[in-house]
Amino acid sequence: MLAMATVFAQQAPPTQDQTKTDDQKDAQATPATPAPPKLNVDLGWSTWGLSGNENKFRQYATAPKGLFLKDASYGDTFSFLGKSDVLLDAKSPWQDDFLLGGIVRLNSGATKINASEQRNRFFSPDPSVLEGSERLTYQGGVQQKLTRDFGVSFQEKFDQQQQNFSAPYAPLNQKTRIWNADGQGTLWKDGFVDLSYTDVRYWDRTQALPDTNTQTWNAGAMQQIGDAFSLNASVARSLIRQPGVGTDKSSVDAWSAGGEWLIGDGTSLIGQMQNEKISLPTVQNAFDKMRDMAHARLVHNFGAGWSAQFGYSKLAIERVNADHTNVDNPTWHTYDVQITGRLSPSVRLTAKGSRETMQGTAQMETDDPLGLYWSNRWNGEIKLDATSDQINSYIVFGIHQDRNDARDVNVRNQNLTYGATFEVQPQLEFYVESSYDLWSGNTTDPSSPNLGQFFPDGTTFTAGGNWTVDEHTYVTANYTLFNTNNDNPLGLPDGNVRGNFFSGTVHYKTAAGYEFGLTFAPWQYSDRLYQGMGYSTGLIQLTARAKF
Amino acid sequence: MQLGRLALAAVASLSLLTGAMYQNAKKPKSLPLSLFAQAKASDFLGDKKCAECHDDVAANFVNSAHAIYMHAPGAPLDKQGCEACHGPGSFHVRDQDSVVISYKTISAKEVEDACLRCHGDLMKKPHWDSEAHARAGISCVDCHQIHPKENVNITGGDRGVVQKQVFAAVKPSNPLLKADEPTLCNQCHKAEVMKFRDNSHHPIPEGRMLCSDCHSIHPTNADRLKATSFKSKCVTCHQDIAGPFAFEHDPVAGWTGSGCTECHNPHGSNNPTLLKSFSRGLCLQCHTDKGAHHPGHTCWDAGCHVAIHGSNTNADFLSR
Repeated sequence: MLAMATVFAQQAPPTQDQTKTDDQKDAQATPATPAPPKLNVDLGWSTWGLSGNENKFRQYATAPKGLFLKDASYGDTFSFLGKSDVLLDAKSPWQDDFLLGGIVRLNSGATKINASEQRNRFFSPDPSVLEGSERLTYQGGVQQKLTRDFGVSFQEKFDQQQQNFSAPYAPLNQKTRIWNADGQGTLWKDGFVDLSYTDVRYWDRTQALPDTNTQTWNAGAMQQIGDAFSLNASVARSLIRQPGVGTDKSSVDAWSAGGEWLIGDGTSLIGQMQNEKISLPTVQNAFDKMRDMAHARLVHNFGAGWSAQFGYSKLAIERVNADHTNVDNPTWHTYDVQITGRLSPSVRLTAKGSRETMQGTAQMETDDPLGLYWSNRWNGEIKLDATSDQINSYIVFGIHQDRNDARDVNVRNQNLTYGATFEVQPQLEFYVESSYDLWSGNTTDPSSPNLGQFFPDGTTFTAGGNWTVDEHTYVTANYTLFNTNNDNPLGLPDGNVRGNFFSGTVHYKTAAGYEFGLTFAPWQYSDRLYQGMGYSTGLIQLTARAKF
Repeated sequence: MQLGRLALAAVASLSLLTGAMYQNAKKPKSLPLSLFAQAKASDFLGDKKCAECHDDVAANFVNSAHAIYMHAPGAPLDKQGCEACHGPGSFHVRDQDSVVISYKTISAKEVEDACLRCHGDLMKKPHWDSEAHARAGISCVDCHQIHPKENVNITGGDRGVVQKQVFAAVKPSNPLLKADEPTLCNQCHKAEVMKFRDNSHHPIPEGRMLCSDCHSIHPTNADRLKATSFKSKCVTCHQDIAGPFAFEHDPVAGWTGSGCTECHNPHGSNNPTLLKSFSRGLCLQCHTDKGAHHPGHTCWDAGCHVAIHGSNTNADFLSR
């Protein structure tokens, strides 16, 4: 492998003057097959009926009603400042949820201009009547290559959020603007530099939170030495201004350094460290004044598809109080290992685990002086993938445990996910997948209630199929179920729920290339303790697509 | 243990389901990448020669997001057209039994070497080798598709994978990908993608987000060189909880600990607002002395700790 990479590094590619001209090649390359379509139009008609809680049904998005433009996209190439192309896409414009986007690439991609706008309307899930929420984002930018290997870019993003929540939460009416200017690329052999400036401004129109401006400067460089070794280093400074709050100015200074070393064909070593000095004069309770992080990882491939990784991470902090006197200096050490390989030609195993331990003390800065952080954490996961001609199946079992020694608290999560895809014939495929989440929590503290009552178990199941009936018709169907079992001692909504969601679509494509679709989606959600949260709905959607 | 029995049953099912023997596809012969070093200028024949036999591939390639870069002015001959990736055509013409450099048959490491010939400005070789996907043996072409599968326009609307989509209404993904992001990621990260079917989840199935909005799938050189990490990526969208606040909930606010993920499962949860635990049980994991504090209420009931992400007015987070 190294030899091969060396070949690349040493090769002297033929120069441009030895070649035919681009125009000559393009003329020669014109194929006889028909030109691809440039315009895609997808029309839809949709209706849905609802009984029950509309807030819950529209928690994430709002399905369109009536006639709507589902998707219109246009892509074309043209000659302007060299080879250029344009991509324009509009998804359900004029609906509650829409996405408009476009990208223009000029001069064989040396210049890229992009812009997009996205709006989503949704509701906070609540049994009471609430006003709707809306998020609108605009973003745009330009990238320009100055040389073949170095370019500059400027990006801007506006994010407007107006959200209404159930009591007792106050509404959000906020706007964020993010500017980013970046210059990056190769300026010398095997080197890489990056210089960037990011300016984030946050405005809270409810005046509950201070306007905030965060400016970050970052400079970094990377150098590859030979084919097997690289080093990197970077520095960054962030200034945080909150006019009218305390001393107005906070800052974070950070540096990092690291490298990668390919020790041999099958072995690599990675190391990285970072230091952050944090100054937050506005903060009046405990925070971290300094953080040191280090990470190392050794990876070895044994061959025959087997590999192992060993990792170590360290995080050390200096935590200070409101008067900036030292509180404590805890350090976390994390060891992890991962083994991957094939048990047989058809079965692949991945096993990984990690353990994090805390050294030193950190105490809560309230009237409770006991230990603050988790003193031990364990993670483990084992995954088996099995492949045959017709069946792909998998099983993943994960376990995670957090323990706070000072409080004698244990929280454990076990997750089992398994499923399979069965290809009956190339035209017919079924899949099924099931996931179980089992939680437990306990403490021997006599003043604490049974923690386990507040860690509900959950089940998620999905099954479906895809059937290509003939060259014109194909059918897709999916059913999803989720169910939560919760002691729910407070009798709150969203604690003991069940959701049943079915979506089925029949697609038909005519010989002329027009496509039609009919979707039927009955959904039902119920809350066993809180009837007002449930809903039942049925959606029918017709679509027609044409390409020109 | 209920889960233990379930695991046993699932393993048994897995064994039964996978009865058929795995058959290694017979690999066609592939020419080595070192051909680039051996090649003379006359060995590069141009796209026309390739299109004489592979006219369907050539016709579809103009729809690829890659196409526009393939004849950039000033590009050396070995980085132009079909031969930029597949090697000098004359070797293939001379030896019809062999194929050109085929990304279906070469190893992940060889794919990496080939792609980094041009994409070294994005990632250096040792850098890519150190990333999690490379360590797992994933190659560029496991996720990226250079030739569109169908005669479609360059918006990448159809990629021949519609029937295997994990979620039907996902946000458009990078046109160079083989499928939409959740479908691609689900090939390996099934347990994670399954969490998006939970009652509370980030709105990926509804097409409002993509996996790459939070995850850097293959961090570029520039990403590696960003030293600042003092707040989690969550505040990019949730700026109202970015602070700094006069009163920080410091162990979980991102200054230490795992930040947001101390309390939230970012992919999905069956508890409201992505919480790991239901109601006051969440707080009692750490605040064990508060078991008898206003029993029968959540910790964030009206008039209580409603500003738990941080407050500028109250040390107990009773108001924002």
